[in-house]
Amino acid sequence: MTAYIVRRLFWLLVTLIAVSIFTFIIIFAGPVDPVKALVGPRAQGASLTALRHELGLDRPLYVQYLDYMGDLARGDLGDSFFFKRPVREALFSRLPATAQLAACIMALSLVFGLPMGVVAALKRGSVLDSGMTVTGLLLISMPTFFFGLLLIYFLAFRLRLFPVGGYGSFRHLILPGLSVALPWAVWYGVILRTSMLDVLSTDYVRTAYAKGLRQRLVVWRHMLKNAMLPLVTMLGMDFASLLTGMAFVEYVFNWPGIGWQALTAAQHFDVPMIMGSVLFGAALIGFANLTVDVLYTFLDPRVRLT
Amino acid sequence: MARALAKGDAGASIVQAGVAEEKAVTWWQDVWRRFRRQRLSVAALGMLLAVVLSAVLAPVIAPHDPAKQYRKEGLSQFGQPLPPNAKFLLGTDALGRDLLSRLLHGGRVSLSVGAAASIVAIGIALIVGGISGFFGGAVDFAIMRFVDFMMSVPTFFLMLLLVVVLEPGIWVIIVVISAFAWTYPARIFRGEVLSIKQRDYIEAARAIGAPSGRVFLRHILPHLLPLVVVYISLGIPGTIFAEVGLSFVGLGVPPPTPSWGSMLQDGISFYRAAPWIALYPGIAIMLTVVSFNLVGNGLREAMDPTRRSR
Repeated sequence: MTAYIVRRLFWLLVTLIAVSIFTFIIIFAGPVDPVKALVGPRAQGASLTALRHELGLDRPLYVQYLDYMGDLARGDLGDSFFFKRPVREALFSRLPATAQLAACIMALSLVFGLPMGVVAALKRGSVLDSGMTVTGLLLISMPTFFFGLLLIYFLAFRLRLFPVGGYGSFRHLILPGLSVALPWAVWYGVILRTSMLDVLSTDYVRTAYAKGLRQRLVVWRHMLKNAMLPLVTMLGMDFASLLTGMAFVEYVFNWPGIGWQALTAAQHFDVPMIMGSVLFGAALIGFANLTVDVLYTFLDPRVRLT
Repeated sequence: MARALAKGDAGASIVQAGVAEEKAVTWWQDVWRRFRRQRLSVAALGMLLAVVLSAVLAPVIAPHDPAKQYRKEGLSQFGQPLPPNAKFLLGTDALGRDLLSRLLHGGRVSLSVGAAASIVAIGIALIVGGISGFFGGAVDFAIMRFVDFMMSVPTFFLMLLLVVVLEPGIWVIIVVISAFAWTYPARIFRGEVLSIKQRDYIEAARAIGAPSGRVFLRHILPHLLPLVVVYISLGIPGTIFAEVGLSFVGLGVPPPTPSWGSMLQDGISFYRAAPWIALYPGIAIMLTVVSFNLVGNGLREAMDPTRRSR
């Protein structure tokens, strides 16, 4: 186990170095003038030349790269010129909001998804089953931010049940949470339905029924435990991708997370901030994936990490 | 026993007669025959054709210039966007532009970027996955580690970085979107090549001395064609979402050109007074994406009848 974790951490390091090389190439050796990329599009003329010297961009490329990597190794990601603060500080200060929303989305999608999957599998072909398929198709066929806008219009503006956006109380969390969680819940429901149907025909379920157990017990104690496994794998990957993939939802709901921050930075040509977000995001995804894989061994003792 | 034999004979002759009378059908005709049986997918194909046709014919059928601002007759006396009326069938936006014309023209951008990005992505996936599966060994290992790497980076942030640093434009958007959309299909193609490679006729082709290139092009590639068509269709929803999202936050195709995403952006600040501005592009996206999903699934069923679906 320890050896496995060490090896994974090593791969994570390799990934981060590769990402940093990639971002370096895009910014410093790419087709665009890095001075403009780093200080914004409005700078011009003599100030550009002065800045180029001041930023050390007139040195050979490999010197610049070593310099850049040296800063990275010390955790220095430069300064954001839109948010007017060090990039590292900005990233860590936005992380709680994103983690909070991601956790809320996971929780909500399970709260809705599990019962849907179970009921759809037990009542196969019923109105509920086909209704779920149709709703699911419609929900996954619109961009999440458009679904978010619909929720804002009806639940926040018309019915005034929730605030239209912003960060703070528990009530602020519900709408952005739902706008991602509902489509996902249906998706999880569909996956759970399939694996429940697989489990339904196994011998141990037949045995459980044969010895006279009530359906509720068979479903919750015998079937769900095994049928959940494919879902748990997906949950892990999805959680990792949520951390960096909620930018549009955060944007629509004015939720000050790292996605919102990266998007705002992009709109204002704030390259150091986006670059920092890329590296930070890669590290987050790496750690999240590793954690999930380790946790998975506790859920399914058959899985051995090698 | 005798009866059983007689029955068997009769059966055999019926089968033979059937074979003799049936006209030879090409593979595509066969696929179409199976596709046609799925009513929902056929309906979706119809809807898709309508959407594509309206986008292609936009310059002809659009009642107004999509960029023209009707400051006088396109806005209410208080300068607010107009609801649907006789002159502007779907109403106008905050600048007094005709929404129907913008919707038709916006479809051109969103559909063509979505389709082009999906085709490019599947092309990359086919090459990468094909090479990886066909050559195996160290090549396969290296390529698959690269795919793992691509799947573990924050895709969206990298897209933002590329879009900001490169010059904005339709081609940049297509390249950036497809650069991150090829990984999953590449894995699928690799797996498929690996399984095809095991089959007897490949061994036979090799045994009679066919060079690698010929084996791949003549004996493996044709088997990937159904997957290519299916994954292009199933990939378009994702690429449309990416284009719509980037245009929505103002990082997509630059302004005077309307796109469904930029129309959503126009609508979001007016969602209280004029909710229809954001509603139309949203519905257009939904109809298009539902259609692509249904058509893709229909094609998958039609092209691979052995695949069981529940």
